[in-house]
Amino acid sequence: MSSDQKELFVQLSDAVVDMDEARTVELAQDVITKNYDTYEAIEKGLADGMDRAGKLFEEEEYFIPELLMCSDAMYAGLEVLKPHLKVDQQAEKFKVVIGVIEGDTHDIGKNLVKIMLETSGFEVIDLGRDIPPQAFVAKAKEVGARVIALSTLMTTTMDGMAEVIRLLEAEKIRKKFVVMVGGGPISQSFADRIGADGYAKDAAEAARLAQKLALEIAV
Amino acid sequence: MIAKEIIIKTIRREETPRVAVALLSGGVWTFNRRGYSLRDILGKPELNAQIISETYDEVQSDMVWVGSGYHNLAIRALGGKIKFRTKGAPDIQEPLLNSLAEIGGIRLERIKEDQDIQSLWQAAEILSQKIGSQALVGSSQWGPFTLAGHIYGIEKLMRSIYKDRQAVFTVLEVATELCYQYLEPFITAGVEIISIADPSASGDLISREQFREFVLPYLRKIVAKLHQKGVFVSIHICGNITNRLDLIPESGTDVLSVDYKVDLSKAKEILGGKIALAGNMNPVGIMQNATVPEVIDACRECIQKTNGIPGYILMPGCDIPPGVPLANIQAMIETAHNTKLH
Repeated sequence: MSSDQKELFVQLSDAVVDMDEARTVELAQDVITKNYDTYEAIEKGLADGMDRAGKLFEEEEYFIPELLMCSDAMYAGLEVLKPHLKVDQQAEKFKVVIGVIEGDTHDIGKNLVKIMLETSGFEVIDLGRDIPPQAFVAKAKEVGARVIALSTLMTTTMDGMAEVIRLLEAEKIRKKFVVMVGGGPISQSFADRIGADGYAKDAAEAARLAQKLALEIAV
Repeated sequence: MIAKEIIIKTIRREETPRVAVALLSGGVWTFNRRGYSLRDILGKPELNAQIISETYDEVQSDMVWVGSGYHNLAIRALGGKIKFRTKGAPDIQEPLLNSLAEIGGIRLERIKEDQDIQSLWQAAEILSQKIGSQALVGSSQWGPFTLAGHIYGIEKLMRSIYKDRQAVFTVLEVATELCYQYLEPFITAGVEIISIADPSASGDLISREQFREFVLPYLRKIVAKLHQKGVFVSIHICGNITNRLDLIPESGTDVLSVDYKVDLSKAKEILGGKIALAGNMNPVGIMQNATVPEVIDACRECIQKTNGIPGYILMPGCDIPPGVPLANIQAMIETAHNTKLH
């Protein structure tokens, strides 16, 4: 890789971390003009920037407003680069079906996890919020998902998470999926009790855990 | 000394014969355990007050809340869409505004015209007359920052912190007035404490600096307006707020109620002698899922961590889910009743 190319990717990553949407778009256009590898620009530039933003979030340097601004910059850059990806670079990704469980409409946490999962190379199917347990199972089967990610902020709706797992077990397909849970009232012990495969306390950790668990699962 | 005297002295950080104890909110728990959804109770102020009063007889919380779980009616009154649930509180389906330009169309007087909200005020009056001499009757609403998120969309509000600060301030002004317009008639009806819950101001969501700039000035404003009406004020913020505890007294609040993610010893160290402190058993991990002896242990730990300062209220860290066993609540109350102080 030329030093100019390397430098450009670093600048892309920095622009995402700096929440600078206009600069990110400008740099992404430079990547195209200079005919650099778009896949690498996404991975070493945009995704790297979002990953650094996620770390800053974990370190309590960044909070949700900053993460949202970083993700806006990242997605704006992605819009520019994506049409230029070569077909063989659009390899099939692990799919995640994500959503907020029925009875709850708080989706900021789910949206952050979605961003971090996409940054980590997952294809995310976002069902949205207030989603019945059955809909998670149906969609996961339909798209051949590897991960089902369930979110809730409400204590009243936590049981819906257990219901998703019960439904998977009833259909004897529990082992086909990694089930991850998260949200304000959720804890590792709750995840253990309902038989979920993973719990993460924040979006950055959730993406790392999903990568690990998605590779471990025997399909 | 009767419960009401104990809680008032505690809020004033005066010495009391025993530890003060109360539920935070509890509306969903109160009605759901009796087989009612929150919608079932709408427009029935007598039934509303009666069930809360009967629950008080069973539980003996020093503070009793009316209108808990119904905060989002204020958004509905202004034209927002909310969805009622069999269990739990109604939630907001989408932000009230599509764009900032629509903010001038918000007619706050619609709150006073809303019959369901009127019925909550009536319930407050009945309840205050019924048990207001024994316990401290209170009501609540979301704080300005959380309401601003409901009005404008929480993600849009957060992006606007960077993209359009003036928009944030504009929405916060309306949110603060909305908060007051909803609460003021509760005070007229006889409630003596107001709880302001501002979960979106949590350290899990925004930074200390953002809290200082976008939350604190509006909390100060609403607290001052409520104090003018002669009530006590308590602020509750969910999640971890350790890094902004020292800023809270600037709001002028009488009480801060902290969630289970805050270390009470730390909170006592920072706030002791400045404002009263309430908290903070885990609502799910302890109040719902633990056994009675475990609840007692958790309560004792909270009391022990705040030992030595007047002005501590034993309270769950947040509102409790509908599945919390009565026995666990009673264990909490009894633990406080059995902890003699002076």
